[in-house]
Amino acid sequence: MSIDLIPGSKISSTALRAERMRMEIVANNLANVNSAGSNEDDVFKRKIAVFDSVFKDEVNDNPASELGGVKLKEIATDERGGVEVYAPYHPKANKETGMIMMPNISPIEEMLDMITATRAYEANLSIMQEGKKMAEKTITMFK
Amino acid sequence: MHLESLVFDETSVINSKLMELSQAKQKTIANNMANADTPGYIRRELDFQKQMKQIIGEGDMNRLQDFKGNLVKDDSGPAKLDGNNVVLPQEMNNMMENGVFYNLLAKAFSTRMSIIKSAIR
Repeated sequence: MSIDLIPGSKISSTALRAERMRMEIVANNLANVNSAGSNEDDVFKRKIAVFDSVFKDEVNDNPASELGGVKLKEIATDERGGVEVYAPYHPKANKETGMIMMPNISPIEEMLDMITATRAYEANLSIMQEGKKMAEKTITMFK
Repeated sequence: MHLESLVFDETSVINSKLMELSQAKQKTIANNMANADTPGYIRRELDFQKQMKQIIGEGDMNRLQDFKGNLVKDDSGPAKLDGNNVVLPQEMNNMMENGVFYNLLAKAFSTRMSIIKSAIR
C-alpha cells in the first residue's frame, strides 16, 4: 500500500470519475435528441447513469480504510415511450400514417442532470482541496 | 525523567491520535460526498468521541494507540425518494469543521514543540 498523505483523495477521485461518466452520458443523450426512428424499438432511448457505493474488504482493523467511494454500476435505459411526430417526408416515416418516432429525451431533464453533475464535481473537488490543506498542515507541523 | 517523555507524553499521544482520527473522518466525509447521488446509500459517520473519552478517563495509553474509532451508519436524517440521506451542505459544513479542528491540532502540536524548544535553549 502506498502512502496516503492526502486523506480521502482516492475516494474523491472515484467520485470525479463517476461524475465525468455521467456528464458523458448526458452529452450522448443530448447529442441524440433528434435521432428519429420508425418505431419504438428502432428509436434511441435515453440512458441513465446508476451509481453504486464501493466498500473494500481490506484485512485491516482501520474502519475508515474500507471506504472505497463510488462507481458507475450500470448505464440503464429509460423505458419511457418516445414521441410520435408527423413527418411524411422523413425516410423513416411510416408509409401509411406518415409518423416518425422521436427519442424520449427532454433537453430540460438533461440540463438538470448536467447541472447536478457539475455541482457534485465541484463539491468533490473542494473535498480534495480540504484534504490537501490537511496534508500541508501535516508536513509543516514542525515549522 | 527520560528525554522521550518530554516529547512523547500523554498529551502528544492524544494529539496525534486525534489528528489520525480527523484524517479518517475526512475520508468518511469524502465517501459521503462521493455517494451523494448513489441510490439507497446511507451516510456513514466516524464515531469515536465517547469511546475515546472513556479510554482517556481510564488512562490506558496503550489502548489509545490501537484505537481507530467505529464506522457507523447514520440514518437519522430524512432520506430522499431513492433512499439516499446525504445532504451536501451538511457534509460541506462537517468538512470545514473537521479542517479547522485539524488546523487547531497541528497548531497545538507546533506550539508545544516551540515551548520545549525555548526551554532547551
